[in-house]
Amino acid sequence: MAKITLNGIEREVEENSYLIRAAARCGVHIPHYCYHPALKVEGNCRMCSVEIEGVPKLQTACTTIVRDGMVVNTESEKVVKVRSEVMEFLLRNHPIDCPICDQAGECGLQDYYMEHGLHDSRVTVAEKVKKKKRVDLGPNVVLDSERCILCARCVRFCKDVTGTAELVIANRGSHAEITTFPGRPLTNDYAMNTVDLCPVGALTSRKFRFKCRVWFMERAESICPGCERGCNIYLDRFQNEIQRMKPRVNPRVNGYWICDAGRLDIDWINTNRLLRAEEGGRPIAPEESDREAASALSKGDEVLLVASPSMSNENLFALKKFSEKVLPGSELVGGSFREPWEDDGILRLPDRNPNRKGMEAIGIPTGIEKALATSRGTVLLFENDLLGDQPHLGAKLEGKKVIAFASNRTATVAAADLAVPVTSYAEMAGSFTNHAGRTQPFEPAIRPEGEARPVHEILHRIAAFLGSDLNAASFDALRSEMLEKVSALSMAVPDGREAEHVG
Amino acid sequence: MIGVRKIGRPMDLKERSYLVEVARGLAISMAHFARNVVKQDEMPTIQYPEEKRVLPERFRGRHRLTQREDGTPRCVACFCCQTACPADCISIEATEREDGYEKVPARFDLNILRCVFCGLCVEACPCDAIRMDTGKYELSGDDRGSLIYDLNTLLKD
Repeated sequence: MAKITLNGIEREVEENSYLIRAAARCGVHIPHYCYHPALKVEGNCRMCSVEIEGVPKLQTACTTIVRDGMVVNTESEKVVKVRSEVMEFLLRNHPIDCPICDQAGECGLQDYYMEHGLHDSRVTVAEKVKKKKRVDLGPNVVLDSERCILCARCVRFCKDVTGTAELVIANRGSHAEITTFPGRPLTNDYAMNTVDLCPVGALTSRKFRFKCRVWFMERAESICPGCERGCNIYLDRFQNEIQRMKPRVNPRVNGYWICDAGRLDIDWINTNRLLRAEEGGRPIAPEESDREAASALSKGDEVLLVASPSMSNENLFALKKFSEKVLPGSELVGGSFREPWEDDGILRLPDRNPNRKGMEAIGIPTGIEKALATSRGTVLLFENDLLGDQPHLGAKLEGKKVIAFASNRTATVAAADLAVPVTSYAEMAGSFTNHAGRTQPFEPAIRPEGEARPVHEILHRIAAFLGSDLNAASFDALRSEMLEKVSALSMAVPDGREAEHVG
Repeated sequence: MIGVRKIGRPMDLKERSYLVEVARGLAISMAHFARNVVKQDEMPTIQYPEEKRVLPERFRGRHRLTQREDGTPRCVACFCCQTACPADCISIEATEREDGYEKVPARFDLNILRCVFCGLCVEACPCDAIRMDTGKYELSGDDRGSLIYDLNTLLKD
């Protein structure tokens, strides 16, 4: 440990750490643009200049390593003046785009101008250097060169994190701008992280462009259901619609990033949803569908329950309980697994099912092919699109009574005798257990679409019609029971909130 | 229990007869009547709708969206008016345009049934794109749908 004096207070900080990081750990925020905890330091924005005793000129806190006995002042008159002047330089050619800029409201320039700038502009709009607006860097990222402050975060990200190095700064002085090499667009699988990294509105997301102003949105902490990594995410909503997905910092799981495939896969939450229960295509009320399902189950036929590794732990636990307590003779297997994709060595893992580990922990076996081949009577499919994903298995449903519990209108739902709408992960609380056995909770981001209900609630109602109490109506009670019975699913305390920072 | 206290206010004969006060009241009414008959041009009543009041210069009437010289809407869909609106009566959908201006409204719906005519949308607009200077205040319709003004309606005035 090293002892430094920070703004007159003696602090113990980690040895060999960068001053900006050490100060952040002490709760002192040093304004910065180019510095990012997950990227190599560059020290080009000069915003983090601080005064160090014994050094004649101001030093950038992001490139200075702490030394024992260092006396640092981050709020001295000189520092405050320089900060304001750096802001003036950065804003010299910045266009007055705030009304049409997607970053407005979460923009580093807006925030720091109010905090450290507040100068009057010495240039007119006509004098500002004009550059290219709306450059398509790749399929998902749009660049506005005028807004760029050349912090090079995106350049460093592509060089060091993805290793693809598509971006580069070309030209000099006021004409310097981010660009790609001819014929080499920004197509890597993590390209949209540059949009999050960009402290200003220079890089914007093609998908989110002009969709919603950021101050209208509210966010929920969630877990990406794209693969078994279980990346921590934010789901931003407006008017009960998921507008965008953003990474949530967690050094133990995904660091600062998420992949583009996961980020872009949000449209299904609000489109093509099964809104009402349907019996052979005819819409029916929720109570009626519960009663229908119960009467189908009470006939004494053989029952096959097919769980899905996309379901939350709580729902899987309720289903397991349902099969043991309410339908002792039934068979419960884990169902359709999404086609694996390639492990890219960064975040993406081959298994695209977010909760296979949770299903294993709860004790739901796999082996759907065999189970479907031998089953005779009723089949209950939970979040399984057998006809769509695995048509060879779907064919085995013929001649059986199929009850599909699904969030979206799939081929299986269309063919089912009874289809019951259930909530997607964005509309309910729950948890997924990732590849490393880490159980991570998520919270509801939006209200359920239509008459969708969580699976555990529906199971509780069906059990009630069958004359038994599943005790699964309350989510909290269900979760505590699950944690009590399945010790492998104990929740991880979310990490890395302290690592978050401005812009 | 709430206690009730009676306060005695005894009236004298003049008051109890009511006649004096009735006559006084009638006298006032008749005086107005007579003045209105004799000096009709000084009558404060306006014969609406044949005759209309002259509006003050800054009267806030129905909104309109202004246009640039080339006829395109000045609105850049920044959502500032929607943000400022306390009645939640404006809803905008933005879109991208390939020529010239980047961001334009694809839809601009103004629900006049909700509007409280506070003028905050006009204050908030950075482009002078929305104004309330049409002087229109006779806003009625046969159904609610006709009172949700869209982009084209608002651009016409």
